[in-house]
Amino acid sequence: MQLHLNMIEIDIPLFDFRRLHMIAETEQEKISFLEVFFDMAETILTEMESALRNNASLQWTEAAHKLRGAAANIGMSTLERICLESEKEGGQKPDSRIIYLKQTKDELIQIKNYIAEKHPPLIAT
Amino acid sequence: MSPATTELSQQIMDSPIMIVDDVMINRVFLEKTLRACGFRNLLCVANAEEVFSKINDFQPDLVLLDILMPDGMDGFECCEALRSQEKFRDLPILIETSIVEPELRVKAFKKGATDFVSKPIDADELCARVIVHLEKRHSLKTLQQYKSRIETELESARQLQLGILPEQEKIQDYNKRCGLDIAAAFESASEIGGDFWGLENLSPEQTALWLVDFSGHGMPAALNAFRLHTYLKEHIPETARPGEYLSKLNDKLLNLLPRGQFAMMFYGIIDRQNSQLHFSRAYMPNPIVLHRATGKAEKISGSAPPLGIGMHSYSTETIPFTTNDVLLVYSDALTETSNMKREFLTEESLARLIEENSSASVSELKDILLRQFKEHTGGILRDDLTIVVCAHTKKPS
Repeated sequence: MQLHLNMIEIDIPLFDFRRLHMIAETEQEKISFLEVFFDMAETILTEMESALRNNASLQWTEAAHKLRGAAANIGMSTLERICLESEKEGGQKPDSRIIYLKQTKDELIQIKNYIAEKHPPLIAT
Repeated sequence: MSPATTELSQQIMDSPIMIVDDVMINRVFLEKTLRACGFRNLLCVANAEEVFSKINDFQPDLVLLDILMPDGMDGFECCEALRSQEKFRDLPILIETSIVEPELRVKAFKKGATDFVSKPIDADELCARVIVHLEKRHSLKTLQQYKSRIETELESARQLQLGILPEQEKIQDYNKRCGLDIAAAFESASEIGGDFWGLENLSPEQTALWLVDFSGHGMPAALNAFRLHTYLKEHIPETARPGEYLSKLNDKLLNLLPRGQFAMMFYGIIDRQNSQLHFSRAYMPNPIVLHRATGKAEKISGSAPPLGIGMHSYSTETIPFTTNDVLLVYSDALTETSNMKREFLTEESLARLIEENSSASVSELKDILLRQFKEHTGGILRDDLTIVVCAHTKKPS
């Protein structure tokens, strides 16, 4: 299956640290904030897996939408884009969901790695 | 920055803002962003249920509302439920959403949304929009408070104005003791108006009756009415020469009234002993006298300039006014208010109406005239209206 994810934003960083700095002042606050985000993302991935198993379109769409909003606000543009397409395409085409789920998981790992590389103290090992 | 601007800025920054989003990250982001802009009074809630449990205590000046909330009401339903309550009718509700479909945005407006902020939230845009809506909110509040104060003050002024008209008890006393049966109606085009009427016994046989209609209506006319009423109370004439009296009043008002303001006035003295009506008028519509003995109504024609616009010597006219005769005096709204076809009630038509109801009591005649006026105009009052109907019921014993 050919997905329509537009990957032209290769120069867009996986994570825009400026937005994190805007909402969290101290280092500890930033760490907590990212922990909360990745915990939430794990919960959403579980919801997406459940929606995939049960072929539940609404559950899928809502989960993707929720992650998209949070990703956008925290400065994860590529993840936001994956979630947008996942919400739209995945909501209508059940077959595409497994691919979007994998892309979402992969993107989250890449973001974690990116943060760990650029600013190691923010990601607890 | 002027003190007023500073005060407004303080008010805006202290405005309570409620943030509604089911995703904690988004709530924190919005709160931090608004705090960074200077807003100090923020409350974050996660769903519509929390909105309704906290909104009455928090009393927000603005709500930032997420659309897609999976638990309970979504943002559309929450917005609609808020708008269904009168107290939240004007509350700015800004929808924060990543929805791009125009039909869903239109739906949000139909449910009562004030504006949108798109996700990902741009901090500068968010603050700018919040400030714009809070400024509008505060302007509206100020206007509403002003309107409320003016309404209270106008109601007090209206009660004062009603207080300068003869009380029902006084009218009944005249009916019992002075051989005069009187009924009157007063309706003002605004909360207060420039018409008033009055009566005073000058002697056991003579009663003065007057009707004043100041130019315009509303507050300026009412203030003039209060001034003249005070003067009249202190300067009731002792002789039966209404023309002289109006001339004196004219001199007084020439000094008092600003250019462009004037008064129309009827001043009559009913002499029951001699069965006469002595009167003078300043540009007042022609009075009508019904002679019940013959069933004929007579228009008393004549003209003189209004009070307060130039020097003038007013004359006194005298006509027979015998037992059972009825005098009708009225302000010009009765004959100068057109209907939808731009037609007016004429003095002739009023006279005919009175003739057709010549056996009616003064109170019934007053009601008939008022009803005719309302049927003619559709109840629209563009000027203050006063109708006074006075019957001479018996000679003094």
